[in-house]
Amino acid sequence: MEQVSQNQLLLLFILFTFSTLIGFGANHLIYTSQYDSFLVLCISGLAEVIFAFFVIKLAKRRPNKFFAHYGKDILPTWIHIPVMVLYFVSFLQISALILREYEDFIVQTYLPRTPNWAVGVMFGIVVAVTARLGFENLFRIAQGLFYLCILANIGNLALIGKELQWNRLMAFITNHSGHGIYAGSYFLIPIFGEVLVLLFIFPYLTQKHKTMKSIIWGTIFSVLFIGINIVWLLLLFGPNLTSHLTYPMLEMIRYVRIADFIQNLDHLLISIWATTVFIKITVVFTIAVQILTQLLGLKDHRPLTFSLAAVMVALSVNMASGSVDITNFYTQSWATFSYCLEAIPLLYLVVDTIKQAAKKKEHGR
Amino acid sequence: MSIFSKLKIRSQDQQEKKQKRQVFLGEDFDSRLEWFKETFNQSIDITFHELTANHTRCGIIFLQAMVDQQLFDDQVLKYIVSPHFAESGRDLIHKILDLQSVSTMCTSILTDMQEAVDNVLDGKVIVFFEGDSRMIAFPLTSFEKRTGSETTNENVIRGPREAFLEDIHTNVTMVRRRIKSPNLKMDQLIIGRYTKTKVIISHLEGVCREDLVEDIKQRIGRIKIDGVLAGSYIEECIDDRPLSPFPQSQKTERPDVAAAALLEGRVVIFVDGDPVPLIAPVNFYMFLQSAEDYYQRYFLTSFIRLLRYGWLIVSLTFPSFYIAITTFHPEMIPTSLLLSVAASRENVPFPSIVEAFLMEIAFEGLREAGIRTPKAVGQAIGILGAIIIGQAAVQAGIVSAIMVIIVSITGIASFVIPGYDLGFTVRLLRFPIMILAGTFGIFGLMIGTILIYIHVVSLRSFGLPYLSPTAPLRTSDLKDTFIRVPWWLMRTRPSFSGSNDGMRSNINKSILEDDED
Amino acid sequence: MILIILGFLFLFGYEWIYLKNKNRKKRTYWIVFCIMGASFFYCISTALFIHIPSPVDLIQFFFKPIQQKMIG
Repeated sequence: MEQVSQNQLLLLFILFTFSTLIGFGANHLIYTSQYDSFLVLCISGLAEVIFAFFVIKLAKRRPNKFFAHYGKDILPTWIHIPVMVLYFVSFLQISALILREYEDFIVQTYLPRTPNWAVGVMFGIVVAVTARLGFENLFRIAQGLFYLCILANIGNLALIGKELQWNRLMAFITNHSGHGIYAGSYFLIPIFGEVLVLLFIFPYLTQKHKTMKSIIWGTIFSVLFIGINIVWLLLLFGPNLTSHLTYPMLEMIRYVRIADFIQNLDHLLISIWATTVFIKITVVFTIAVQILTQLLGLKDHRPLTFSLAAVMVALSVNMASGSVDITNFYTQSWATFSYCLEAIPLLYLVVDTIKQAAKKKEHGR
Repeated sequence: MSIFSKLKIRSQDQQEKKQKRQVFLGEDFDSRLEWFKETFNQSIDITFHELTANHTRCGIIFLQAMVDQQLFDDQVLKYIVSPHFAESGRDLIHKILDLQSVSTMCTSILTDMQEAVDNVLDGKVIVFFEGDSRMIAFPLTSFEKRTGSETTNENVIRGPREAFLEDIHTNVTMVRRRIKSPNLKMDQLIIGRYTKTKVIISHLEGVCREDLVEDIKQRIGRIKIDGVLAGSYIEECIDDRPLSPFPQSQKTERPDVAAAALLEGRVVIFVDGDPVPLIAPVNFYMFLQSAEDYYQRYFLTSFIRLLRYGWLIVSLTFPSFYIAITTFHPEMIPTSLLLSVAASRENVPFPSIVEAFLMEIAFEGLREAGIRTPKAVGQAIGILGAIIIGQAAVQAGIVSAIMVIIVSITGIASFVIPGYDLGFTVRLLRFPIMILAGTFGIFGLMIGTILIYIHVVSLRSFGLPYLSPTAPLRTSDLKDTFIRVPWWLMRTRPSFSGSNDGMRSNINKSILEDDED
Repeated sequence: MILIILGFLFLFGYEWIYLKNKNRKKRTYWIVFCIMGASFFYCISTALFIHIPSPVDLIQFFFKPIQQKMIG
């Protein structure tokens, strides 16, 4: 079963946090924490590493078993099953949420006459096909796409360089707000906390003892990449304009101009960035499918993928009436909900530790 | 019933059949002759010859056109009929069957009639005597075959020009001549119920993974088919993913390419009658390498390889990109270019996707017509295509001049890819992407490309991931993928080969070597 | 609507062939096609009715007040 190398894990995690945060989260982050955004990123990265430490600690106790299976040994079945169902629904919901954001983005910016569901169905098919292939191939796909995305991003940042207003740099030192940092971190930590998926893919990893190291490096790199993008946004538009743009990254890419000939590269770069979103949706969706498979005691997740992908697409279309609803949900309650989701493994860890300690005592007697 | 139990039953059936097929008729001469004549009835090309030597009747059976009769007369017949060769009939049989004191090598003794029939069909001469159930087969096969040919499809400017032929033994020898090592192993299998085609699986022991050879042998051994007339019959039966449009084994007409593959630890499968052996496993990047890459200097090769990757992308996406831009995102191109595009499209009645489809299909038709027609007519087709489609259609306002340019560039791009199979696959995959681009613009193009990418990533060729040096990443194999480093830097063998015990090359060469001192 | 039905018909055939080829248990057939049926009805109902309660509403209802209090 061990097919995913640590290198692949590292690359995937960079893509995983990079994709949606840059695309959909940047404006809200800058809105709440202004020039402190980079600081908030670092805090969240640190929180991610600490959280990952506990997740890995829990996963390492039964390294070759799936959480859905061994959870029963820790908490009673009547608690564990509802928890897993909650996870299944939440992961499906999260993938649908990202899909919906992506649909809105594509429809609003490029295909104004295309209905949401058409984009959703197209994307859903790709996600389902990939999920059907399983984690090994998914990680390989991510590995190939990583270099493309990072190269495109770095190229973009380099080309935008001359447009930046460097005198704003001073504000990173002078402008601070305690509440901004707090509110920003409150919003951002759960996004980094999606390292939770590690709990579900742990059995697939090779060289499991190196996982923590990969996560630390992954966090450092993703904070760096995202940080540079955020800093660039702030230097280019300033905090107020950025927070009022729907897709600040898109606007930044539109600034790229090469020799006054190639003017609008955004389509190309956006389609490259879209592949990272695709990776994220697929990872989350595949985990949802696998949880359901394991709960039902099936050997093979493949026959379920297309049905569940249909649910995901329908959910994404049905989720809200407009993109305002989505933004509201994203900014008003999603973070708190994620905290609850991410706290569950900690509960398992505590109970398991207590149980093990009790067992040891009995043995001692 | 599970697959395994089905397989088990099938193999039992075959064993029973094999036992049934054997025929033993004992020492009686006439009944054996009758049996042969019955088996070979209505076969004008089989020669039966009966003679008496030393008061012993003997029968000779062979395929007239496949045997060197002069040689048979000189080496065998002369002795048998000579009164000095043996003192009696018993002595004659003893000398030939027991001592095999004839001047032909590699004779074999048989008792099974069915085996004798197989031998006759393989071009051997069967001789049998009255009073002894054994038969002797003389391998004096000789038939007309094509000789000495030059490469026609995989041409090079620098490097050998020899090409494989139809005869399997000549082909095997061509490779053997290049790799003079006892580690070069050749295993033969006979495939095809009626054609009984020889299939030779060759590999370099110690370099090639043994389980790979076993896997390939098993897969080929499992083939149950009436006839194998070319390598493609085998190829389609042993593919990992038979429904994939991507080629999963390499074909070559060059003995040097086959030898290079063996040295990399791959397996070469020769099929009798086919001048194009198969090479497995293969990855995507191998289809973008040509033999020339290794005969030219490395920097030139590296440049050409990078160029090929560029053209590959052009070949796959260029028309779709054009469709997407003209239908959905005209703001992407500079204004001046946009104006000239719009001007050329002004009179065209079709939307650009229809236009592109028409032109692409016309191009594919022209290409196919060019290949199948006799050479003299072929030129006419080229002229017709160029003038009518390139010139008249634009003037008539059916297609735009830009579209003609795009289709021609794409056409050229697809021929830049050295692997013909892959070039064809890319040309085919262009059409679905064009439809996607026509309905969803750049988004559709991206979806199409991702789908192809996902498929390619999940493909395997005999266990080797199709995108293998890049996904999963093998840094040491990258030196012969996008670029080719000089030979003295290629120290290790590819990681899919069996062992990296010894170095592939060990040449002490410092990059900073200074010759001027 | 018609697209959904066609899509699911295709899906049904595809999975049926897949399960048949793999010689799966009867239980697997039941599970797979029950989930497919549920998925089908959900898709149809989203196409027919404009707004069906989704998890988003539920999460908003529970967590919005908490988050407002937390951030202040």
